[in-house]
Amino acid sequence: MDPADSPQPGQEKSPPQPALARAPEQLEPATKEPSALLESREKTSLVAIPVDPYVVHCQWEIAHADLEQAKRALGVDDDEYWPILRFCDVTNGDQGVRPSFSVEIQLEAGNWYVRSCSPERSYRADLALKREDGSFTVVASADRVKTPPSAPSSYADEHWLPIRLVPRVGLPIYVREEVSRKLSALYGGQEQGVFESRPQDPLPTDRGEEVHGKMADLPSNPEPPGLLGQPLPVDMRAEVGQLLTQLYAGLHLEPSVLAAGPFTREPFHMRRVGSELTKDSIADLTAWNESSFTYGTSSR
Amino acid sequence: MAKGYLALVLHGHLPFVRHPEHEDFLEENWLYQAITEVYVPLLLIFDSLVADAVDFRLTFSLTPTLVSMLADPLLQSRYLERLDRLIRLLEMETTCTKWQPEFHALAAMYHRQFRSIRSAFVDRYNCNLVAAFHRLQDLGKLEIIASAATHGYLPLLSVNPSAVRFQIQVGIAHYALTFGQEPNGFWLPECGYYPGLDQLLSDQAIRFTILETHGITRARPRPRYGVHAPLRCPSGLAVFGRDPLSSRQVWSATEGYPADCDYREFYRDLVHDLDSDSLKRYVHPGGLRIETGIKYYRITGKTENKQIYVPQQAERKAEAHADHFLRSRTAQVESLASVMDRKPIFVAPYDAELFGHWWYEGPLWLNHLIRKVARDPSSLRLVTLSEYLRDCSALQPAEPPMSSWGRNGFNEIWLNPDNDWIYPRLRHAARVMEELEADHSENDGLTMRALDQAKRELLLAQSSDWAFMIGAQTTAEYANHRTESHLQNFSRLSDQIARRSIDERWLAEIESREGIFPAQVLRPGGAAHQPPSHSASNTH
Repeated sequence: MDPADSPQPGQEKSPPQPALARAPEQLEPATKEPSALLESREKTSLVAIPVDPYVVHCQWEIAHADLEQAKRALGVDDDEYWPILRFCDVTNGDQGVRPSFSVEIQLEAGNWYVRSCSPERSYRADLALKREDGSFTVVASADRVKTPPSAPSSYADEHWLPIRLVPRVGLPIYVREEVSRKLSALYGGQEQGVFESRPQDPLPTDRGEEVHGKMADLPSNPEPPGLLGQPLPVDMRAEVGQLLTQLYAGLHLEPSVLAAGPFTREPFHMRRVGSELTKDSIADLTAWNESSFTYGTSSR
Repeated sequence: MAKGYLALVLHGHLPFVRHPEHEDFLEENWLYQAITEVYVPLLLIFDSLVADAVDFRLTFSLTPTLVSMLADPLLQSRYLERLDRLIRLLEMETTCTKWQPEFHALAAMYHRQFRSIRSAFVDRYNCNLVAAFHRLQDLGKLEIIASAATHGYLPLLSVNPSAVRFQIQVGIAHYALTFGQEPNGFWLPECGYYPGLDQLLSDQAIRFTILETHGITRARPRPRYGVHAPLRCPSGLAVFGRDPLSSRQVWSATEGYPADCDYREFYRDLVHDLDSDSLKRYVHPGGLRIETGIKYYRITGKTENKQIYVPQQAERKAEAHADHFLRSRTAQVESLASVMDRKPIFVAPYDAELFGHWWYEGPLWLNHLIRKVARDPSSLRLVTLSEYLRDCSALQPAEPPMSSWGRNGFNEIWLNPDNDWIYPRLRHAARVMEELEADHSENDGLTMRALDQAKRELLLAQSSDWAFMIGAQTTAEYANHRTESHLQNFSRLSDQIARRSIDERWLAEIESREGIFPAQVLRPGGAAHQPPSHSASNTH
C-alpha cells in the first residue's frame, strides 16, 4: 500500500499554470509553439469536481475581457475587489437558495481545493468578484457538483427492507399460525412463507410461560405447517408488513413491543459479540459490510 | 448444492510502455517482470487445473494496453532477451554459491523456474499469452471482461462525456477485435464510478461492473443484502460490490496473508548485491539496477536481519492460508444463508499483479484455494459474474454513489496538488478533439491517419497511471514526461490537421512508436463501435 500522502492542510492551491494565467497578448504564435492552438482559445469557465465527501476541487479560466467587464460591472479598480468562490447548497432545489459559504481565492492560482463541503450535497459553485461592501458579481459558474455520501443511506425502500421478516421481540407461536392462515387465504392457498425455514431459538417474550406451553404442543419440528420460508415476491412484502402490524395491534402486547413494530424500518438493531456475527447483527448486512471495510485496501 | 458463491476477479493491467527508439528502456521491465512472475505462472496453474479436471471459474480483466503489449513482437523479443540474460545470471549464481548450500539451492530453483517459464512462453504459448487466456475463456473456465482503452480514470474525465464515452467504446472495440465476441462485463479503472456512468456502459451493452464496497453499501436506497448481492442501476446495469473481509485477508499490508514472515521478501533483490561488471553483463548495459526477481530472503518480521527463504515452508503456509480463506468464506456463507432469501455472493477482486509479483506465493495460494473449493462444493462454488446473473432472481434497484478503490475511497490519489495540472489540459484537448472530428470528417487518407494518431495521443495522455505515479511520487518523472509528450504530440497534430498541413514523415514516426489501437477500433460509427443487437434491454 502506498504511504498516505494527503495534501498538507492549508495548501489549497497548486502552482499556477503558466499558459492559463497568461493574457492573450503574451501568447506566442501557434507556428512557433505547438501547444498554442490549445491554449489560445481563451474562454471563461469554472469546473468543480468532488475529491471526496468534504472537498471539491475548482479550476477556472478567466478571459481577460470577461474579467475587465466584471470589474466595470462592480465599479472597482484592481485593488478594490477580491475574488471568491461562492458555494450554494442546491440539494433541495435552486429557488431561494442562500450561499452556504464563500472562500477567498487567488485568481492567478487557477484552481482551489474547497474543504468546507458536506457529504451528499449538491452545490452550485460560482467564481465572483466581491467588493468591500459585500456586493459581488459572478464571473463564471460551474455545473452542479454533488459530493458523495460518507455513510450508508438511511432511506430504505419498503420493498427491500434490509431486515428479516420476523419479529424483533417474542411473538407467540399461535400468532405465527394465524399469519400463515391469513396469508394462505389472501394468496389462494399458495404456500408462501413469511418466516425463515430455520428453526428459531425460543423467543424472548414477556409471556414466556405461554410460549413455552404452546411450544410443548407442537411436533418436534418447531416450524408450524405451511411456513416454508420461501422468498416472498416483492409486491407481497408491503402487504405482509401491514398484516403483521394489524395482528400485533390485536394482541394487547406491551406498549414497548407495539412501538417497536412487527418489523421495523429502522435497520439499526445491530448486536455484535466482539466482531462475530450474531442473529440480530446480520440482519443489517449493509452496516455489517461498512464496519468491516477500510478505504483503499489495494496495492495502489 | 452450494450455499453461496465465490467470484474471484483478477484485474490485469499495465500502462502502455513501448520505446523502440531505445535499446533497453527501464520502464519496459514492468511488463517483463509481470510476464515472468505473474502471467505465465497463472496460465500454467490454470492449465494444470484444466488438465486435472478441476471445475473452476474466474473472472479476468485484461486491459487493452496490457493486451497490446503482450501481443507486440518487439516487446516479446525484448522479453526473451532479458529473460535469457537472467538465466545466464543464474548460471553464474549457481556456480558462485556452490559452497553456500542454502543460497545454492535457491539459485538452482530460480534457474529451473526461469527456464521453465521460458519454455512455456515459447513452446507452450508460442509467445502469445493473449491467445492462452482466450483459450481458457473458450473452455468456459475464465470470463474475460473489458476495460477502458488506456485505463483512464473516468470520474475525472467526466467533465467531457465524449472522453468517457470514447475510453469505453475503444476499450470494448479492442476487446471485440481481440476475443471475437462482445464483453458482458467491464472493469472500471480503479473501480472509479460516478452517477450516470452506468448509462454510458449500458449504452454499449455492458451488463455488469464491479465497485468498491462503499460504492454498494452507500447506494440509495440502502441495499438489503449489502455487497452479497448485486444492485441494478437505473440504466439496468448490474453492479457487484467488493467483499471487505475477503479483500482485507489478502490485501492488507499488515494483517493480510502476503505479510506472513515465511513469504518471500519483496525488496531484497539480488541486483543490489551485484558488482558493476555483472550488472552490465546480465541486467542492464548501462549498469542500472533493475530488479531481477531473484530474491533469497523471507519477510522474517519487522527486522532488517532477514532470514533465508525456505520455499517448502512458504508453500505450506500458502496452503494453510488458502484453507483459512476458504473456512472464513464458509463461515460467512453459513451466517448469511440464514437471513438471505438468495445465495450470497462474495466478490473478491484483486490486481492480477499481486499474484506472483507483489506476493510471490500468490499463484500457489490461488492454486490451493481453487482446488479446495472444488473438492467441497457443498458450501461454496466458484462462479463468474455472468453465470451468477444468469441464475439470480430480481435485483434490488439502487443508485450507487461516486467511489473508487483508491486511497481514502474517492478521487484524491488522482486529483491532488501534485497532479491536478493534468486535467485542464485533458479537458482542453478533449474539446479540441470534438471540434476536429466535427470539422474533418472527410475520407482523405492522410487526414484520417492524423486524426487516428491524435486520438491515440489523447487516449494515452488520459491514462490514470500517470496521475497515480505523480500523486504517489513513484516514477513521477517518467509519468510527467509521458503526459507532457502525449499532449504535445496531440497539440501538434491538431494544429496540423486544422491548418491542413500534415507532416507525413513525423506522423509515420510517431505512428510506429506508439503502435497501439488499429484504426478500426478508433473510428466512431465503424463496425467495431456498434453495440450488438442484444443491447435493446438490460434486464436480469
